[in-house]
Amino acid sequence: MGMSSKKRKTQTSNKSFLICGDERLIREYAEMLSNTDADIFVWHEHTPDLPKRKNVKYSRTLSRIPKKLIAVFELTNTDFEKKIDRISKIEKHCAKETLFLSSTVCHTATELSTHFQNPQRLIGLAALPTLLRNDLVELTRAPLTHNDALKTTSQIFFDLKKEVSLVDDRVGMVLPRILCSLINESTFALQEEVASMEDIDTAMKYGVNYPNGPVEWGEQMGFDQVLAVMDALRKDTGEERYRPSPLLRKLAAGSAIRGQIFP
Amino acid sequence: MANTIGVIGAGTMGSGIAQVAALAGYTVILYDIEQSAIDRGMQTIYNNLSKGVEKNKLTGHDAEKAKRNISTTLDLMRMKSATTVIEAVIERLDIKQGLFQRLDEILSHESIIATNTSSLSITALGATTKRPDRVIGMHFFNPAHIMKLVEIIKGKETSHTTISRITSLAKEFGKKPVLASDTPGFIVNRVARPFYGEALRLLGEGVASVEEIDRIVKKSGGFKMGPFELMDLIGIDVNLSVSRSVYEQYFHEARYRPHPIQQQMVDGNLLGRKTGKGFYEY
Ligand SMILES: NC(=O)c1ccc[n+]([C@@H]2O[C@H](COP(=O)([O-])OP(=O)(O)OC[C@H]3O[C@@H](n4cnc5c(N)ncnc54)[C@H](O)[C@@H]3O)[C@@H](O)[C@H]2O)c1
Repeated sequence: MGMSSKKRKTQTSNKSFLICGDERLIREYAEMLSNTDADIFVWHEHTPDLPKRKNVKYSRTLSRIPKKLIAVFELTNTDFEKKIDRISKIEKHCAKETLFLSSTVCHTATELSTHFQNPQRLIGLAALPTLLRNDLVELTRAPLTHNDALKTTSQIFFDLKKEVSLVDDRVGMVLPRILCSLINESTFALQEEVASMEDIDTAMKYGVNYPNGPVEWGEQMGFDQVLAVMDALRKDTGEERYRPSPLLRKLAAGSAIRGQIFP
Repeated sequence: MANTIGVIGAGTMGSGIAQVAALAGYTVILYDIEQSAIDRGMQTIYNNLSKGVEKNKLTGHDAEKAKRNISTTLDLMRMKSATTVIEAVIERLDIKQGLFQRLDEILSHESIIATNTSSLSITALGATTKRPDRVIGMHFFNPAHIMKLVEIIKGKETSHTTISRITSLAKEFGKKPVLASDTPGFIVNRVARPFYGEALRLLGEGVASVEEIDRIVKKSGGFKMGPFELMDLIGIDVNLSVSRSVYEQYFHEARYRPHPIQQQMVDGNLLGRKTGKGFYEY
């Protein structure tokens, strides 16, 4: 595995990644990938807030982006129609063998693969804001995904100093399901006035050593992302336990949480 | 210091609380119904204090002073001089209620009765006394001499004065107090439910293995411990009983429903570290 990483470092040209999807995720993935010697092309309808790096380039249209790419990072969680639209446009634009890493937090890779012309190159990714702070990326695959797509993906993350973990193809995967359920629960507690948001966060950090309080984590992640995951789990399982709290819905709709009242 | 703290129950939590109060300079009276429990509790306190000195967390002088601050008794009447009593006896409503009634008669009018209960209603405990405004939850975490958090739980009748006195006391103990309303599981034992519940479901549905789920939660989520490691540490039986208690008290709210895997582990006496085998082997 280590061999090819050396080889790739020497060939600086013709290496590009394409990123598109939800804004917070675009920014985090652009940040991570900008530490490589590749060119990062961000495709988005309007200028997102991107890290100011020489190798990060923004484009409103696909036509300015190379057709030959190392990989596509399609990071849409909050809008399925947009996701499918983006996938089909990128597929038409790119070379057939392009590796396609798509967020499968809210939909299984299997379901997503039915929207692909070439599902053999599809790898599912647990793309949720804040998770790139850490050292591991959760992956999944669809039934038709080729083994070498998985190998190449592991190598890309290996070069980025990330471990990977392959999990079964399920809505919410592992960490997004646990984390979003925790955040949802904290909004239920908040809504029921069990405690203030500061106290809920303090309690979880000092009582059970969580790295972040669930409310502040939701804020950093974006409550719209949390809601998308909960709605998807609810729909997938039909289970009451994944029902998002009414407060989570309001927070996702954009009512500010700190410094402002959420009625 | 003029204030005397009474600690009722010299078990795991009571001994830890007594140690914390004594280190903060309070005169502590530690009570239990069993002399053996008192002896064990005091031994634990002495051991912890020695460890603290070894690790340079406290001076030998502090440790000696803390030891001198604690006296023990089998006579509940000795609580008379306490301005605050912290109750940490076994988790049974009838026993706690009986104790609260007796304390209500023994204690001076201004004294506060605080309870370390994890799952009983503060309001229900307060209602057995003539001082529900001076009954409050003071929920420490195990091990009490190490964990910084204290949940302060206000019952329906708990007064502002009581809340502010106990909040100040927790700060003097060197703790981080948070204020919670009297609802099942308070903050931590409720908000943490999905951490275990979803992990168990992921395992049950075959999404990933025990080891893989723990690895992902730690390495992708930044948690210090994975859910299965943590359940093994807490005790799978203890974790199940907390789950069950929150589930029952919320009238079977689906979010808190325990998982059959937990029951199976308990039935098989696979309780975690304490039995040498749980989700992992030790
Ligand atoms: N162990 C934990 O992790 C933990 C954490 C937070 C809160 N709590 C709560 O703290 C309380 C005590 O738990 P523990 O783990 O220390 O239990 P424990 O079994 O270690 O200790 C209980 C002690 O109470 C004594 N006792 C029983 N009946 C009594 C009575 N009528 N009068 C005086 N003493 C009596 C017993 O002799 C024993 O020493 C419970 O309410 C529990 O819910 C426990």
